[in-house]
This record gives sequence, structure tokens and C-alpha cells, in this order.
Amino acid sequence: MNLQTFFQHFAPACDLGGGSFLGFPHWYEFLPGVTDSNHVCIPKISAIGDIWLIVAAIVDILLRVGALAAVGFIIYGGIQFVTAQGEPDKATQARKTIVNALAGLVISIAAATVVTFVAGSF
Amino acid sequence: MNNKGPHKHKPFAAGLVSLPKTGYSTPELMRIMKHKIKLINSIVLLGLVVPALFSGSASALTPATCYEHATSTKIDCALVKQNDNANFNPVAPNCYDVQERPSGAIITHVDCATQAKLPAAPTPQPNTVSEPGSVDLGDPTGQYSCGSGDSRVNTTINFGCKGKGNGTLDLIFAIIRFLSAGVGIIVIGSLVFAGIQYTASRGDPNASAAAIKRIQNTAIALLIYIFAFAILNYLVPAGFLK
Repeated sequence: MNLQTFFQHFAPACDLGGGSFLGFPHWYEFLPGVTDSNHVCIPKISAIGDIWLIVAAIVDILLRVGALAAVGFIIYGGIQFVTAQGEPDKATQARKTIVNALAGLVISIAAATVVTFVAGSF
Repeated sequence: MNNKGPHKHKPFAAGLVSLPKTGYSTPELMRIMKHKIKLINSIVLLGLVVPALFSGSASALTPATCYEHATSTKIDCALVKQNDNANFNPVAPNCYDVQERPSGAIITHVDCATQAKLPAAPTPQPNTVSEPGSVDLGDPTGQYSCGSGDSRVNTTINFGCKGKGNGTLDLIFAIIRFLSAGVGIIVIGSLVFAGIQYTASRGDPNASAAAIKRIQNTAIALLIYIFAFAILNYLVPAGFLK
């Protein structure tokens, strides 16, 4: 089992659906759905290794949180820039905020991409 | 018996009697041999008689016939019950009821195959010990098993065991495989969290240093795992970790 299988969507036997919160994925997004005795579609955990599918979904949620946070801090840095009023210290601080926000976003996305690529090549 | 030396007796006594090589004169050796062969003869006799006794009793209780129970009105069919579940009596599991039996009649020899059918036949319980000689540990209703034979352990949770070999080792390797599968996910999670930390540092050097420290520690953890797995992969025979 490698990481690629974690990020692959299973063909669901039924539609798990569920509500949406800011477009975040659900914790059961990688779990297959089964219909129980009450004809309700529930996520199916068949082996102990399926825990990692839930962890992978949580990492997916974290990535989106990181992207949202980066956007938010870039806006915050922009406001800092605007309110710097030409003071060099405040402008430097604002630039640092924006650079760190972008760097954090790059770290998050690069980590996910590189580790998935490396693990998938085994 | 002849006195040409102990090696003459070797085919008979091979594997049973260890002959003293030196230190005995020939008559003395003969005396010892006679004593030992007597002992062997008695053991062989016992070995012939005891199975003969058992085989005699077994042949008397062939699956087609059985005998009246001593104290009840039931027929003890302990030896035939496996073959005919329809006649199985839930009250006395080893006995069949005899229907339309004349009162006071003494039945000494009953053919179980021709007995009248009883209405209720219980469904046989799920067999917890399916392999002969195996001791099922853990959850007897568990549908997943680790290991096979004497050391098999049944589990309700699917640990991903192969169901072969020693149960403890099978479980340990299943857990190692499970943890190995999660290392990549955990590393990604840690790096993504470090990225969020870095994003939220707002140019504060202490905060961004904490994020970089987390990335370093994640890299160290990944290296430790890679080396541990490499060493384990070298020590353990092929196939256990895959």
C-alpha cells in the first residue's frame, strides 16, 4: 500500500454526501460507503489500515486551512503595507508578513506534492 | 540370541537401546541385552494389546448401531451423532429419543439410522476450534485470524494479518505494516502544519523559527523511520513486511 492509494477516491457503493462547511472535505472522503440495515449510507471501515484514510482526509482539510490562512495573512500584510504610511519599519514588517505567508503556503503544498510523488514512485 | 557380539542385535534394537561400547565382558553384555530385550518385548506386547482393545470397542460401535443408555429412555448414540444431525436431541446431546418404543421392552441393539425423526433439530453452533489441535485465543467470534495452528489468535478487528505462521509474529508484522503505511501521511501532516505555522508567523522571527524547527524534527523522524525500516527489512526474511 502506498500513498497514492490513500489519495485515490474509491468508487462508492452509495453516496455518502454530507453537509458542506466552507467547502472543506469530509473526514470520510476516502472511505467507501455501504448501505446499512436502515438503508442509510454510512462510511465503511473494514481494516485497521483504514485509519490512515481518515488521517489523509484530515491532512487534506489542513492543506485547505493552510491555503485559506495564507490568503488571509497576505490580505493582512497588504493592510499593514497600506497603513505603514511610508515608515520603513512598518513597511518591512508588512513585507515580512506577506513573504512568510507565501513561504508557508509553498511549504505546505510542496510537502504534500513531494512526499506523495516520492512515496508513489516506490 | 547368539554370542557373536552386540552388533548382531542392532537391527532389532536400533533406536531403542543404546549399547555400551566398552567396559563389559561378553557374558555380562549378554545379560544386559537379555534384560533390555525383555523390557522391549513387554513394551511391544503392551503396544499391540492396547490398540487391539480400542479397535475392538470401536468396531463394536460402528456408525450404524448404538446401545441403550443405562439409566434413561434414550439411546446413546454418541458415536453416530456426527453423521445424522436430523435425529439430534437438544435435551441430551449424546442421545436419541426412541419413539413408539414398547414399554418395558429392553432394546439392547438399536439401529440409529432407522430411528424416527425428531421434530426439532438445532442448528449446530459455530465451531470455535476449527483446526484440530489449535487453541483459539482472543475473541472466539472474531472473523479475522492471526497466525495458524496452535498459536492462532482470532480478532474482531482486521489487523491485516496474513493468517500464516506464529500468531504473535503475524500480529507484530501486521502492526509494523500498518504503522509503516501511516508514516508518509503523518510526515505530510506535520509539514503542512509547519507551513501553516510559518504562514501565521507574521514576520515574527521566533514564530518562524518554531516552524523551521518543526520541519527539521519532521525530517529527522523520517530519517529514523527509513533507517529503522531498512534494518528491519535486512533482518526479517522476505515477505513479512510486504
